[in-house]
Amino acid sequence: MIRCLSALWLLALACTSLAQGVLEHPVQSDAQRERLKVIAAKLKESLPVQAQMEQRKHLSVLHEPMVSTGEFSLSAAGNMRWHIAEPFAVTYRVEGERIEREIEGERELITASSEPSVYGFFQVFSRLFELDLASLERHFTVYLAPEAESGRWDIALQPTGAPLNRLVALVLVAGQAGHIDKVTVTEPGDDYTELLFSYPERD
Amino acid sequence: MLLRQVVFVCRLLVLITVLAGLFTLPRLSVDNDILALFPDKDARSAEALADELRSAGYERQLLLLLGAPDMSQLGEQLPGVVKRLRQCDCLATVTEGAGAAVQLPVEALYQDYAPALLSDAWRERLQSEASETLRNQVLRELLTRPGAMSTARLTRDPLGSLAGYTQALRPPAPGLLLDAEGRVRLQVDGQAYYLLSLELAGSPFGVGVQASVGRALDEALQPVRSLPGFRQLHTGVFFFTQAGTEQARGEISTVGLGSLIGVMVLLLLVFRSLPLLFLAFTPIAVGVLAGLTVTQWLFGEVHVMALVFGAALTGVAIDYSLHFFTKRMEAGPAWQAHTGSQRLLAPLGLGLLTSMAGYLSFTASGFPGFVQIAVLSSGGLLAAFATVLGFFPVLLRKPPASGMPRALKMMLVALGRWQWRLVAVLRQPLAFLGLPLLVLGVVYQWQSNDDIRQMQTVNPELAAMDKSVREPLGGGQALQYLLVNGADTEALLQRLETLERPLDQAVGAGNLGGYRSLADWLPSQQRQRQNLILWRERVLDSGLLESLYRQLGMEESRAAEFAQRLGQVEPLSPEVALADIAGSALAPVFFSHEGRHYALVSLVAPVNERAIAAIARKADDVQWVDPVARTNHLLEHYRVRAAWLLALSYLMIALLVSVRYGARGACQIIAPPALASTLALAGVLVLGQGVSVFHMMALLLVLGIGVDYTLFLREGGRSSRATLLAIVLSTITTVLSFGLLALSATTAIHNFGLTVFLGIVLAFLLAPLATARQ
Repeated sequence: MIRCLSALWLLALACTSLAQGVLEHPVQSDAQRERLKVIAAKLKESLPVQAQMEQRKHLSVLHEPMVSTGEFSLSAAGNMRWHIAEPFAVTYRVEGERIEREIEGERELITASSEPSVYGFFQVFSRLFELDLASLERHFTVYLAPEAESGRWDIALQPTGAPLNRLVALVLVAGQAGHIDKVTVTEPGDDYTELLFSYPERD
Repeated sequence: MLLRQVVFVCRLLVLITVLAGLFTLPRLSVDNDILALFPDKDARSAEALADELRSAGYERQLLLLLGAPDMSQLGEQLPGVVKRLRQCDCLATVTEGAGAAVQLPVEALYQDYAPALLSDAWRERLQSEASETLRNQVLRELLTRPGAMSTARLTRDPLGSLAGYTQALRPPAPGLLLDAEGRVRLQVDGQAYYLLSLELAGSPFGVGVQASVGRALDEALQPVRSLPGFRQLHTGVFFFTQAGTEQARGEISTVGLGSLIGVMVLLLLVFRSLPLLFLAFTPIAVGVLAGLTVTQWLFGEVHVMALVFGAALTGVAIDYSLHFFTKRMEAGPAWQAHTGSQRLLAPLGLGLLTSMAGYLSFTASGFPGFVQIAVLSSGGLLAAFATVLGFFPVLLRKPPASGMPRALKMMLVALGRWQWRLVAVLRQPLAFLGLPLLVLGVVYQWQSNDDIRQMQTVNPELAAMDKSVREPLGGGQALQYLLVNGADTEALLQRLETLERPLDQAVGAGNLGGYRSLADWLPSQQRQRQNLILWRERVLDSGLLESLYRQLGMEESRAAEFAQRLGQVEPLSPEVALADIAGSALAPVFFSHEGRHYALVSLVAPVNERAIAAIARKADDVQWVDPVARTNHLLEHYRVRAAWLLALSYLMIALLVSVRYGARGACQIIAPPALASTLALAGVLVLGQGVSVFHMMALLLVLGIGVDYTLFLREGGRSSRATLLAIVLSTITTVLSFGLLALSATTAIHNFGLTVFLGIVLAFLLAPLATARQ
């Protein structure tokens, strides 16, 4: 019981600290829309982009998050390379609607019917960088926190219906200028995943 | 005296018919289902039940693919299309996406039974891979695959083996994609489409369903059709039947209109009287009314095919009017209605009797549709006959102002002379030698064709579309299937499992595209227990799970709790699973019947029929079902039966007329239609057609009408111009109404029409053979 409560508390803490009350600010005004457009334009400007990434999976049944690290790159044309180096080497390549996985030199094609969740994740993720409000609003309620410090922004996406709401409860995207720094995906249970990006070129 | 009684009975009959008809007509129930035409023999057999369940699932599915250069614009409109479609009661379900991308109801149930539900690949991995290798593979997946790790997965399906199990339930769909908005797209010939799966609320063969679904589709798609570059693909039995109905409707209106105009122009030319023209059609109207009434009373409904063909056969009743008119015309001012009808009583009565005998022999064919056609047309002919004899003498009491026009008389004389010359040639001893030659020729050239696929004309555009849509969705389902049975569900599932090995081998050898079995959805209790033993041994007892949990950093007490729970998993029972499986559109058909349990193994094309049938033969309780072969076999059966029927009809008619004309006379009466039929048969054989049941049905018609000709000629005397004129007019009207069917694009109807055309023209030409030598 105590464990459960502490997990919930941790989750709540994580969410609030990340969200910074973003859920109080659904995108409604023209000013917010305009700001989103600016953010999207800056994201686009920064392409091609390369980043180090760290993935932390927080599961309610595990004490510590499971961590994996690697690199990520996105070309101006929208082609993505998602390479996890530790603890296991696996590379995903996304080119348009084609997704390929490479493990120990062996490549395999991922299709929507063979691995729908992997396929769906990359399709959505590679387009997160386009930040097109109209297409986001088709499936999510979009929130944008007021500008706290210069250049920083926090966006939240809450699925509005099935099948997305079965897989995802909330997506938080935090960034600065033309870069995404952190994506947090909260699942309907108590599990959530953090993706942290750092940009050697920028730093 | 006899005539007066007949006239009285006739009038009474017409009166009753009209009254009963007016009462029945508003309550007429018309059956549209083409399937009702087929005999329901073995209706209660398991095979028939399997067919029915299978077609209910398959025939009602239709796929709609919508594409445009700007897919996102189209995507925005998609929910509107779905909403509008759902408003129609004619559609049971409307789903975005298709089979492979839709969540199956049963998947939620599987979550708690992962150790019992192992795919072949996982069984092999558990048997052969070292624990450490397995653990590392699982860890790698958990840590690197997006969305792979969750509490539910770790505690209920720690190896992630369920994904492989459920994936096997869906046909592999190489062309299926998910776009950024999570919508399912299908890639067809390099172009993207959104996918809608629709299920009809009724049979696609129902004309009512066709109309309302067609309307719903038109209305729902109207807004997106205006999008620039909009493209649409679709497939499903519905679109094929819709195309078939449209073609039939088009042909019926062309043939029907052509025949009606032709007949009217002809009658106006010959009789030059508008009232007579209307009077000519009155017996047909009364006849159709009577036919429909009798059929409705006897069968509780009228099949649409019986309505069309039966009404057409009743159309032959125009001959009765024609005989009356020509008789009156020939008599001219000397016409006496009473004497005229007395002279007509014998030939018309005999004609009616033989026609009815001919049509009623249809009942022996066994096709329920044909039985209805026989009843409708016989009842119709009787009522038409009654109308002519009961009322024409009163209505046409007044003699015409003049007799037959000179020109017409001369034409008839010339035609008669020419016809006699032809018959005289045929009476030469040499021509008699020709008869065996003709028969030999027919026998030599004989070929039959009972292939239903060659008798239906499938719209080639739709067939090509079907192929291009089915391919990226993982191939089409073959028409053939295996029907497996067992004393109980467990026996059935075990039987299905023993089939897996030979079927897998067939797939490997290229004899089969693939197969889907109920055992994929629910393994037998026996196999599930084996799976559980293997899983416990290799995952729990070997310490694999413990080390996996430890590596993930799970607290020991919780790890032990989860491991214990997984160790207690029991097999998924049929009682729990079957209802959910039945609710999944992709699941194979299964049912129980008379205490036994049955399941279909559906096959994916291509199918090497011989190889798979051999597998079924070798196994117990497995039946190979090939619906096309079965239908072909049925058609062959009916062709042979119709041939016997034809012979029987000739015999019956011969017996009937021998009462009046003696044996020799009877032979003379039936010889012309018999010879005409043989020649018509030779004609279609020379044209390269294989003889089918439809040719045989046409020859039955040739017999019915052809015997009328010989009877009238014999009764009317060879010198009667009235009889000759009536026969000429009858031949032309028959050719106009039936012969025009030869223009149909549907092979079966074309063959029927052509045979009637050849047979009737020949029967007319040869009719004088029935009379004495000149």
